[in-house]
Amino acid sequence: MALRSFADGTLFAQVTGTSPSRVLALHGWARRGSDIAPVIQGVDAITPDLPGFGASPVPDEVLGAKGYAKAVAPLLDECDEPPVLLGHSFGGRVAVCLATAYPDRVGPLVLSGVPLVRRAPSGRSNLTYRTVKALNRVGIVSDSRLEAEKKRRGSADYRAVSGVMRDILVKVVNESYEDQLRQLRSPVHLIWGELDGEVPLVVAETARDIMKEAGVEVTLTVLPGVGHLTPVEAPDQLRQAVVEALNR
Amino acid sequence: MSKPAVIFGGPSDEHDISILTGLQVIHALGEVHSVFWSKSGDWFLVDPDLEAADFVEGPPGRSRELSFMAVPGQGLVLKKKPLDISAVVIACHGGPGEDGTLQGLLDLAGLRYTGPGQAASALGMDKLAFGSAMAAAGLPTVPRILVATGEEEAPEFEGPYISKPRFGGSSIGIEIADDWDTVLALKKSSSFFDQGAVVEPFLVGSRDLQVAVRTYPDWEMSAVEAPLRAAEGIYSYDQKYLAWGGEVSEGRELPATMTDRVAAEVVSLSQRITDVAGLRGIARIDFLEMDGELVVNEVNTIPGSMATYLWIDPPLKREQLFRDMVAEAEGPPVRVFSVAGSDGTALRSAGTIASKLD
Repeated sequence: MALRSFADGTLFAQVTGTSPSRVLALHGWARRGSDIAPVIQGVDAITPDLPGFGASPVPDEVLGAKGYAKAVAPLLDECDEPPVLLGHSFGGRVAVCLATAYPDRVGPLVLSGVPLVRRAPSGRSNLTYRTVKALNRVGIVSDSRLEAEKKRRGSADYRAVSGVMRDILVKVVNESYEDQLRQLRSPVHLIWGELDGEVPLVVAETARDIMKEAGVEVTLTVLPGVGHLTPVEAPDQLRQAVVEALNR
Repeated sequence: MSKPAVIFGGPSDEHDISILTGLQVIHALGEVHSVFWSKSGDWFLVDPDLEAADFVEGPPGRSRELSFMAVPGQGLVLKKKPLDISAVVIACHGGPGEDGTLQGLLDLAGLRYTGPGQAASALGMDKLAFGSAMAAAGLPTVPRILVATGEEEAPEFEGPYISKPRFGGSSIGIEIADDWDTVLALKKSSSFFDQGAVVEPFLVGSRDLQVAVRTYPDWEMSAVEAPLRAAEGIYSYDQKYLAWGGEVSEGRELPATMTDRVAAEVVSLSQRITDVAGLRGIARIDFLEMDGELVVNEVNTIPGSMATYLWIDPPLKREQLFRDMVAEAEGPPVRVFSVAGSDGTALRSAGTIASKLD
């Protein structure tokens, strides 16, 4: 679990096994590299703490998944051959952007519980919230009252962060990756928890259909009885998928 | 009626965990003043029957605001009337509740309290000072050095290194680094190291051994626990996801299997550490064991849940542990200020201040 610093100390990653690395593993939102590292134990891999998580400092600017891909790109230098990308949840968005930005330097993708396509929003936001927001705009309601209302209504992830990281969260939550999915040249293995409540299976099915239509080689494996936290709930299946991708 | 006051919460990283410990003590003791110390540092008298979730948004409704007067006979004051407190149970983890700040405040107010005094509390939260005190007392330690500002030279010992915030009691900010450059990069980038960082060799293949001690009615030691950790690191994914509380059955070996020699060494070292570190109340001592050799890692002077789950041998009920801790606190205070030697002689013979300035 020991860290090494990269990119002038702006990125920390653990290197497991021997160099050069053959797998690049990207963790989910509010996690860190050591959370996903057990999945790829025994594999020559590099597992960063994504900027703003774990030991890696918060980025200076509001990055989307593309920005994150750029931030972790220096790790590709640690790999002689295009590595397998393992991405869980938010890390999978970064993986897809990395693969489209550096198509020649990235191998097969193993993606699990990744919000790849944006689902239709569940209707308009709450009336109270809209009222508070409107009143804030005209100066009747204070910023702190609006902030309290935002926190009260926001997701657990939203409530847990502040500053740049919150802006990043808002940015990435509103991103969708249809275009990138169509551009992928590497084969993709979607491996999904049947009971994923955060990023339901329908997201994987939609992403698979988009990729298929665009001629991307894609397979979908559904893990029965498993939820969103596949690195904890199904580490062996994830590892197996990575090993299969390595052997392609 | 005089009764114990339990102070919990506080402006610290471990605010939430402190609430959990505080409520455990309050619910077990029953008749207490329940004193919530908010994240912003304000004091409230709250209903002792409240549950953890009632504190998610800060002080629960119907909390009554208290003021703190650091004057003997005052202390925690409700509408100009001091609470009648027999002793304070400090249930604060990390930050000013554990590092001596609160202890100093209670000393000034003439209130007795559980756990170590101000100086010993501060020592327990300063990894550099604590490690140095242990080493100076001849107890087995690993070399622990300050990552000094401007000092880029690698230490004499080799990596991997484990770097830790100098002050603080939780695992927040602790990182294992492969090489010295990474330590320096962490020092530069991590906000947890702003108040200083210490570094020591990371003992690959070592295991943690943790034990609780108490100092009343007699010195006593709990069973020894070996928390299980990921192959190479400090925490595994699973452990992080487990509900906090120190009472989950997974992720630890309790009692830990160990050789008779190591078991005997844990006892003798724990006794010495209690003296050198000035422990009082219930504390937890953490050792590292490597190839049958023990080294002292750190102490936790106010452990989560007061480490009640460790007392399986001898079996001691939580309520008994808390009651004994209160009885100890109600006894002689840790710190009594003395004015002996200031009997006015120096003042009477001083003459004018102007003559001193000449």
